[in-house]
Amino acid sequence: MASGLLRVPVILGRRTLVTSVPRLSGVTTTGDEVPVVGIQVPVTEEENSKWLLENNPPAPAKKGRNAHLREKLYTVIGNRDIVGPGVSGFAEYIEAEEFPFPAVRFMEPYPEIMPLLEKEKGDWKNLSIDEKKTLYRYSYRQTLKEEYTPEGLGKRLLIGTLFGLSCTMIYTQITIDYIFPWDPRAARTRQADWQGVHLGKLIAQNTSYTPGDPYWDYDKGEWRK
Amino acid sequence: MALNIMFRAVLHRCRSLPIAAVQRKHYSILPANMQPGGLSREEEENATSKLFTDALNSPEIDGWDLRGIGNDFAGGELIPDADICIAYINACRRVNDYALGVRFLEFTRHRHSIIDKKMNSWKALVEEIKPALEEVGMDIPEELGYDKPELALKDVESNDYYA
Repeated sequence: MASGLLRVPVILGRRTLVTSVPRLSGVTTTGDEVPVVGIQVPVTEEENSKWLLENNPPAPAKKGRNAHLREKLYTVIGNRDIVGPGVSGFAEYIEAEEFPFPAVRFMEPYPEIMPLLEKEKGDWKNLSIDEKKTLYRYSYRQTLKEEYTPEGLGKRLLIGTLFGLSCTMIYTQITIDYIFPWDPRAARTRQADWQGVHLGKLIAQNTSYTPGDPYWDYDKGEWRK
Repeated sequence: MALNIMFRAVLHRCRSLPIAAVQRKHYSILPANMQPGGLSREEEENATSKLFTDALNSPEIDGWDLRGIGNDFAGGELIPDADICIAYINACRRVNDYALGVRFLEFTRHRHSIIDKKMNSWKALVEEIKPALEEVGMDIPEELGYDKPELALKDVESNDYYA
């Protein structure tokens, strides 16, 4: 028969594992003997609990609480120290108003700062202000004040809108002043006889909504005084 | 008339009735803010600060716990007292972490700037803390120049398309 994948659900205590076991063609198996390729998966509860303890050892309460996780998290955070619980227990450097103490230091230890870290264990009065600032920047990227300063995007928005408005206003005024006089069809409308005829048409439409038109008296057929 | 005499008369009459008496227990295992029956005003004001100071003054404390407590302050919108600040700074001294104390003081300064724009409460707190700061050798953010922004770094999480 053709070789295919067999999915065998294995229940290990509180956990269910779905393993895909390739079945080779031409191989006969008796009963429970299944050829496992790759990781040796424990089947009984005792073996499973042992496997879990080996791979998830309990954290020591004293110094180096999470030293066993440094190797596993190297691809995520690099050589940096894990220092606190942070946001929901993940090892990330996050600066936020509700979480001013991130889980990981910002910088990796570099050679110039190793003597400073030794000096930090002594008396802090021996540190100069520049050394204190370097220690701060070693642990944190931004101070809280830098974090909370706005970037000025609202100002940029206002500048953009006012710039656009002013451009359009200038353009319209230039067209009104310098381009419309050249239009002959519009020039006809500036003549008095045309304007008189047009006004008569507007009055004949009778579209004034006021009960008493302030300019044209429709009952007498003349302008009001 | 006299209410206490009237109540006493009622009680004497109820003695003969089979009423189950309510016993008020004092759960001394629980801290003050979890006791049943409510708290007095003094107990309410001092409960949280006492819990935190007792935790911060224990000699087994770690940098991990310190940052957890600081994040609890921030998330719970609490403003640290002078007692808590002193305990936090002494704990930082034990853990040999200078930047952590400065960060905590910056955080308290920010919180005080929200409630009091003129920073009178912050100045009063600094005066209360000064002996502890001098003993340990720590500086407040004004002395380091961190009351104003020093660097102008780009915000990583903003949705700024043109920057």
